[in-house]
Amino acid sequence: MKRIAEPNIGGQSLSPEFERLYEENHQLVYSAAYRVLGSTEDAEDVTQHVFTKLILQHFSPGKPKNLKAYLYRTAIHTALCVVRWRGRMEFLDTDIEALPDSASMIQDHHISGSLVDAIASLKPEIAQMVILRYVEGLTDVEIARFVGRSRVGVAMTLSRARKRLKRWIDLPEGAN
Amino acid sequence: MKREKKNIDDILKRHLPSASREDVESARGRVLDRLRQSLAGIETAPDAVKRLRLIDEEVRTAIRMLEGKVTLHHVWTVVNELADEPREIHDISLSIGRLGRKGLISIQALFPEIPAPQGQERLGRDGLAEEKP
Repeated sequence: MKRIAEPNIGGQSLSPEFERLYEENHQLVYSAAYRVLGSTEDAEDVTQHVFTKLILQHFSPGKPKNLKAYLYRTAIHTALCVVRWRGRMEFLDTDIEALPDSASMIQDHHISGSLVDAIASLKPEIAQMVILRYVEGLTDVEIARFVGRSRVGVAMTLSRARKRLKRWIDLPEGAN
Repeated sequence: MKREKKNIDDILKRHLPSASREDVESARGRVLDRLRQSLAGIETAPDAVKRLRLIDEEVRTAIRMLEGKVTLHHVWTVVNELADEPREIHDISLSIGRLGRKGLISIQALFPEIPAPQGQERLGRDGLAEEKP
C-alpha cells in the first residue's frame, strides 16, 4: 500500500505507556500481517493502522483487557481485508482473455495465492483461528484461551475450516 | 482422513510466509516514527476529536488498500469492513473533505468530478501525498 504523509500537528510525543505497549506488541502485529500479505510495506501499513486504531479507540493506560487478542484479531482482519480488496480490484482491472489457464501456473505460486484467498474468504474469527493454529503453532486449548471459546468449539471450527480450505485450493487426494 | 488432514496441514504450514528477524526489527522503528509523526498529542484530545481522527484513519487506510482506484462507494464499503461500528456515507465524505483540506489526499485526483481545494497541485496523480523522508 502506498503511504500517506501526515504532518505532526502537536509537536508532542506519544505517552511512555503507549510506546511501551507498542514495543511489547509490535512483533505480534507485524508478523501476523506479514504472514497474510507477504510484503514488508503492506505489513508496516497494517501495523500502523492497528496501533492508530488502538490509540484512538481502545487504549486506556493500565487496564487493556485481553490486549494481545485484540491486536492480533485486528491485524489479521485488516490484512485479510487488504487481500480481499486487492483481489476484487485486480479482477476488475484484468483483461479476461489475458488470464492464464491453471495448467500454465507454477504450482507453488498457485497454492500460495489460493491459500491466502481461501483464508480471506473465511469469517474473520475463523481465519484468525486457522492462522493461530497453522502459522503460530498454538494448540486448540491455547487458541480457545486466546479467542475466548471452548476447546471443543475451536476443534470443530478448525475441522470445518480445513475442509473448506481443501475444497478451495482443489487439493487432489494424496497430494503433499 | 488422517492423510488428508496431514496434507492440508503441511500446505498451510509451508505456504504462508514468515518475516525475518531483521524485517521485524527494521519495521519496528519505521512504524513507531510514523505513529509519533501522525499521533503526537492525540492521547489527550477529547473523544469527539479522536472519533473523527479514527474515521480519517479508516478512510486513509481504505484509499491505500484500493491503491488510488477509488469511488466514494468503494471507500465507504472498505471502511465499514475495517470499522468496529457502522459508518454513514456522510461520515466518509466529510472525512475525505478533511483529508483534502489537510493536503493528505488529492480530492481532484481521487474524485475528478469534485472541484479541488487550493494547494492540491503538489500531490501525485494517484491522489496520495508522499511520505516525508
